[in-house]
This record gives sequence, C-alpha cells and structure tokens, in this order.
Amino acid sequence: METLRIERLRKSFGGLMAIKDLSFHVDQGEILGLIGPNGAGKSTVFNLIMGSFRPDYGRILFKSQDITGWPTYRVVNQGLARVFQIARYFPHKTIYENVEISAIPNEIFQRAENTETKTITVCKRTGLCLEENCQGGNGCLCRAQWPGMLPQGGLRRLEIARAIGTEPELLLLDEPFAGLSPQEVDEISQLISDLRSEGQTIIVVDHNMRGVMGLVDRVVVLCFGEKLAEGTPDEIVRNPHVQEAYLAGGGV
Amino acid sequence: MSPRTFKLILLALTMITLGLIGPYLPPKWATTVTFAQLFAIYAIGWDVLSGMTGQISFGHIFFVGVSGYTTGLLNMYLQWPLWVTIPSGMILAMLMGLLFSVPALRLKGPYFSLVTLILPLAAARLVIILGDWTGGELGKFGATPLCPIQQFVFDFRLNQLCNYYIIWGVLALLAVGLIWLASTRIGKILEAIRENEEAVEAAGINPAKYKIFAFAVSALVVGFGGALSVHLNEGVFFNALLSLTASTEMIVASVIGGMGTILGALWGGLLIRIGEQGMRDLAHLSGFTDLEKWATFFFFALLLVFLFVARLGLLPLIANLFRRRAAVRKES
Amino acid sequence: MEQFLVIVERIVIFSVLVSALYALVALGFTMIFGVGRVLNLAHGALLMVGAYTAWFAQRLGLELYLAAGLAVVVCALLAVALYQGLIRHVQHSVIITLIATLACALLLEEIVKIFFTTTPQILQPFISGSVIFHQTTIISNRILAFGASWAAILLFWIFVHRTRWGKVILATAQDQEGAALVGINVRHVYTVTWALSGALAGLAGVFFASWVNLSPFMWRDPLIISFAIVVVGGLGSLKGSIVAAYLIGFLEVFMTYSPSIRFCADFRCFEFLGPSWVGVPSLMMLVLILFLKPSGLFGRAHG
Repeated sequence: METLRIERLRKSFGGLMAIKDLSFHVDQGEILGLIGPNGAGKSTVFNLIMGSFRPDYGRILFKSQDITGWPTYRVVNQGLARVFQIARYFPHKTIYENVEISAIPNEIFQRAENTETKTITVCKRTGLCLEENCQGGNGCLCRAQWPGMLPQGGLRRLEIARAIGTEPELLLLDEPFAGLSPQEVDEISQLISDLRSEGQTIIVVDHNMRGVMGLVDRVVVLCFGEKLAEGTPDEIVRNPHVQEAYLAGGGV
Repeated sequence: MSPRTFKLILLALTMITLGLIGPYLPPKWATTVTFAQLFAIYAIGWDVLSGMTGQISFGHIFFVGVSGYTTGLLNMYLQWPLWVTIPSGMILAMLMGLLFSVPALRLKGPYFSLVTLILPLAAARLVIILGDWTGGELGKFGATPLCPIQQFVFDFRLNQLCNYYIIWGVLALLAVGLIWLASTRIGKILEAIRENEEAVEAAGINPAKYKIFAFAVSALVVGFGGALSVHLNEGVFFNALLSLTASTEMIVASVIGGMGTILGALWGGLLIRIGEQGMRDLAHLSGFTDLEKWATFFFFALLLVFLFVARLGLLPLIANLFRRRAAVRKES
Repeated sequence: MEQFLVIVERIVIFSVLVSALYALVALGFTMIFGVGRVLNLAHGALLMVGAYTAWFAQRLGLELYLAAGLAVVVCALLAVALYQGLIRHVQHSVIITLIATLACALLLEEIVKIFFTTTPQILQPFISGSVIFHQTTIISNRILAFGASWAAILLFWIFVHRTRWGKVILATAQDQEGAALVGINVRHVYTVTWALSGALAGLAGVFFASWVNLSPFMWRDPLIISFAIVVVGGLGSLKGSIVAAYLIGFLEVFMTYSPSIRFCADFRCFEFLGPSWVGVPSLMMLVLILFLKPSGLFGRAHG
C-alpha cells in the first residue's frame, strides 16, 4: 500500500531550479533510500514534504491526503516526522523532557493523558535510557541528564526519539550517519534496522550509497534536482548513469 | 522534590509571611506592601507570556490600562458594582490580548517587543484625547472602594487591612494557579517555545496557538491587577494605569527573580516596591533626603547588573544552591 | 475659503520645516540600526540629554552656540560610553539589548527628574523673533532649525559617501564579517558610528527644543518618530528615511494644526484632530505597517 506519493514536484530558489518534476512514492513498511551527490536537492525534498517550503508546482499526497504546503505541525500530526542532521533540541530541558514534548498532543484543553509511559517507552526503544535506570520514575537517568552531556551519537538517538515520540507512520531520516564515529554508525544502523523490523516506514537521505545499501529496500537517485534512477540497491549499483553521476560527483 | 513542589513550598512560605506580618505593619508600610503585592500580580502576569515563552513584551501596562479604565469608567459613569466591573475589565483586557496577539506574534523577536511598546503609548494618547471622560493626565476620582466594609463603617486601619488581604488573597490564588499551569504540559510547551520554537513545531505542536493562549492568560492576570488597582486607588489615574516605567519594572521584577519561574517574578515584584519604599525611609532616617529620588534609578541599575552577572535571576540561583547541597549530602 | 487657504498654507510650511528636523532626529537611530543591527531605545534619551545640556550650559551663562557645541560633544561621549560600557557586551542578544537600552532611557529620565525636576523648561532660541510669510507667522528659530537640519544631513551624506571612513562604515553595514576579513576593525567602526549617532542626537535635541519644551519625558516622541521613520523608510536607507520623515511630518502637522472638530455629549467633548493628536500619526503608521508589512514599506526583508 502506498503511504507517500510525490507528484511532479518543482521548486526553484531565485533562478536556480532545485527540484525538477520529481515524482516517487513510498510503500508502507519499506525503507526507501533517497540518494544523490551533494547539492542534488535531497534536503529540499524533505523541506518540501515537511512544509518548511511551499513547492512551486506539484502535489504531495500522504495516505491519499493532499498535504502540499501544510504547516509543519499539521504535517507532523498527520503522521510524518523528520530527523534532522543537526539535532534541534531544548538545551535546558532534560533528555526525558525533550522526548516528552513530542508525546504531548497539540490540544490545549484536552484532558491530560499519560505521557509518561509513552515517553519512557520511546526512550527505551531508541536506547536513550538504560532499562534498569527507568524503573523508578524519578530515578531514570534521562531525567537527570541534559542533551549537552550526550556525544554525537547520543544526540542522533535523541533526535530519532523526538521524531518517534510523535508516533509517525513515515519517518524521514536526514543523513543519519553524518559526523558519527564508525562505532556510532553501527549502533544507529542497528537502531534503524530495529525500527524497520517493528514495521516502521522510513525514507533515508544520504549522499553516500555504501552506508545505506544494506538498509534500504529501494533507492531513488537524485541528481541536480531530477530523478536519475530508481530501483533495488543492486540495480542502482549496476546502473551506468548512476556510476557516471557519482564519478563526476566524487565516487560512490 | 519536583520543581513544582519546591516552588509551591517557597510560595507558601512567602505568602504565609506576608499574611502574618499584615496586622503588625505600620500604616504606611501596610499600604506599601499592599501595592507591592498588586505589582507582584502584574509581574507574574508578565512572566507567563514573556518569561515563559521568551516573547518579551515592553507594554504589558497596556492591559493594566485597558482593564483599569474599563472598570473605572463603567463604575463611575454607569454605577455598575465592582463585582461586575472587575470581570468586565479583565475580559476586555483578555480580548485585547487575543486581538493583538494574532498579528503581533507573526513578528519575531525585537519587532514583537517594539509593537508591544507602542500599545501603551497609543492608549495614553487616546486617554488624553478623551480627557473629558477619563480625566486625562490628572486622572479621575470616584470609583467604589475595593473593600466592601468601608461602605458600612469607616475605620482607616480596618479598611487598610481589608485591602491588604484582598490583594494578598488574589495574589496567592493567581500565583498558585500559574505555578500549577507552568507544571502542566501547557507550561512545558511554553518553555519549549522559548528554547527552540522550530523543535516544538517539529514535535507536531502549533506554537502560535500556545503563544496566543499565553497572551490571553497573561492579559487576564495583569488585567485583574489593573482592575483591582482602580478600586484600590478609588479612581482612574494615568500614572498608575499607563506608566511606561511600571511596564519596564515588570521586566526588571522577572529578570531579578528569575524569568519564567512565576515565583521569581513574584519575589522580584515585591522586592522592587518594598525596596523603593525602604530606600525612601532610609533617606528620611539618614537625613540624606536626596536618596529618595534615586529609588527607581537604583532598580533600573540593578536590572542592568542582573543582565550582566546573573541573567538567571534569584530563584534559579537558590534552587541550584539547594540542588548542590542535596548532591553534597548524598555523596557524604 | 480665505481661511481654508491660510490653514493649508500653514500646514504646508510647518510640515516642510518640521520634517527636516524629524529626518535629523532619526538619522543617528537609523545609522546604528543599519550598521550594527542595534535598535537603540535610548536614542530619544540621548536627544533629551542634548537638549538639557544646552539648556543647563545656557543657564550657567554660556553662549547658545557654545552650549549647543557642548551638547553635541556630551552626547557623542555618552553614546560611546553606552556602547563601550553596555551595548558591546549584550549586543549578541537582540532582546537583552532592547531591555538594556530601554532601561538606560528610563535611567536617564530618572536622572533628569532628580536634577531638573519634572517642570517643563524652555531653551532660549538662537535667534529670536519671527518671520511673516504671506499669512503665516513662522518663528525664526524654527527656520534656522530647518536649515541646520538639512546642512547636517548633507554633511552626513558627504561623510558617508565621499570619505574613506564613510566607506568603511558602509562596508561594515553591508557585511561585518566581510569587513573584518579585509582588515577593518569592526569594533572601532561601531564606536565611531555610536559617537556620530550621539553627536547627531545632541544636535537634534538642541533643535527639537525649538518645537517642544524640555521635560524628562521628552525622549518618547523622538524615539517613536525615529522608529516610525526607520520602519516606513527601510533599514539604513538615507533617502527612504527622508521620504518617511516628510510623510510622517506632514501627517503629524496635518493632524495637530488642522482645525479640530468637536463632538460633545453631556458637556464633555471629544476633539477630532487638533493639538491633542500629536504623536498619533507616527503610532498609527507604526502599528499598521508592522502588522500589514513587517519588513517596512521600502525595507529589505529582515532575517
């Protein structure tokens, strides 16, 4: 079943066409890789989906609903969430409180539901809190640590947790491995695999094909804002156009 | 101990102290503390919007003015009783808050602050243009006294204490309400907006909606204070209802006490008004009467000092002190 | 009909005269905003300090020309002190800067109250008497203020566009990092712009006194005027500022010098237009423009 459908999306900044007639779709339960050299327009696609920019032309359909140009918070409430490359957190809130904000519904006067269990579940699921530390409520490590204390990999986990907290049906991961140590790459990679085995639909953006090849079911290759190729990882690696683009752009 | 419990305990200590000392205060000081408590209402009202969400308003005295003039004029011209005029003033202040928050919150940072600075200046012009009704810069006397006892017996001391405890009660009620609000998820989101508005939106929450809500609550609280002040002063007076100095002093109170903590703003508000009177007394006692004039100056200077050295404010400093002590105790 | 023409004539003449002064009032404010992105809410207070310095020096027996010179120097020094002692340290946070400069303005208001009380004072004019043009009586000192304002604006323009220092300031205004990379000492440039802004405020204060009395509250109108001019005219644009100054000046004069229309009920009256409407046009312009077009009429979009 189709979850997200992008139809003939177009966006230009000044005279520069950042996205040209881009169409692709994501099926439920799959992991789609959105790959392309630097400046190919991958992050712009995410910005357009999440409502940071309005496209010049084209439609974005999510679960058959036209969400083109919706403000970010509505897109999120519809079931989409984005993980930024550079973590956007609340520096003066504890890790627990950071995740908690995502678990709170967008209704001022709704009766309070229990955000605590939800938050702790998310913290555990993303490996932010060690299980034994989370039993005693206030004793949870996440409640006594601030994001500033986390290493790069921990911040990425926090960012993923904040996205998961909104209970998305489709998760957008923007360069999840950028700036991480090899060990952290393995850990985050494992986390993403775990999420997939739980049935999470994901789009992963990366400029490096090798990093995501083992992870994704299908790949869309972007080059200068256009779709260059689409197919399984194997097909993509063998595709001569892709090889050319990557050789020009600096190797796979 | 959760921050809410911590704050409520400190609030209880503060309010109990104020409640107990009331009858023992000499008349002049009873009046001073009454007005200090009134000013603390303004300060905590300001803190809900500006302290918590980081949208700094320079012109919150505007809501004091809207509510105050509404209450006063309805009371003086239509002879409505004060239990009708006070809510009317508050509701109008809240409506004004809603009306201006929608366009004003589209403006970011300094532009928002500057628009709020314009509101009381514009209201002041209106009051002067309509001077025949409002009394203009001189003001107009004749509103119903706040304390109902005064209509039956005229006893200065009794009346003074009655005023004292009415304001005391309202302050305690509002402070508990706002500290509770700050601990709910609404409060958490307002604080999150101050720290990173984009991240709040990415969490699926509409920041504008929460800011408008905060604006309305803030205007309502400050408006309550404004309406009370009219009946406390028994008239509408320009300097009490639209003073730019008082508007900025709300910021001073919150910065000194700790922005966004409600209790800190309450302390800051009390401290400023009591401190000003204290300086005046000190001036008379020491014979150095010029000191009296420097009171307001002193508090603006203190604001600058706090902006430089202790931007967190008093309450967070004290809370940190407690936390450190607890940590030391745990270690040993 | 005759009466009507007299009023029109008066409004035209007065608005031409006062608008030049408004442009001068806003000049320093615009420059600080344009170069350092600082909204100096103490600008009006600097103007007040200028006016009071001149008044006090005059009372001590100084010639007005010397007193005015002293006011310019005092304001320039005060502005530099303000920048070095305060703004420089809080500049990174826009909000803290706003709070700090507003606190400074109120501090100066308090100081004036302490030393000179709230009683309005009158600054003796440079030249006394008045000129009668057609049917309109014009106070000579206001004509002088008009001439001096234009002279100061032109000198400022020449300084910015024709001298080396002016070009350095322009470069810094456009891109402070770029300026720093080509070897400009940005902090130095800021200090100079603050000094210049203070000097202009001092001068404006002396001439502003030809239209209003001195009081501890006199800083508010110039601040609102400056702010309105910046918002209408756009950031750091001299031409835009002058156009805006004339627009606001005209509206201001029109509203305050038009014959007012009285509406009365129960012996209480409300006047539409007339002297009590002073300041209203700038406030209305500000609110309208900020709500409808937050980037200003001629402005670049703000970041």
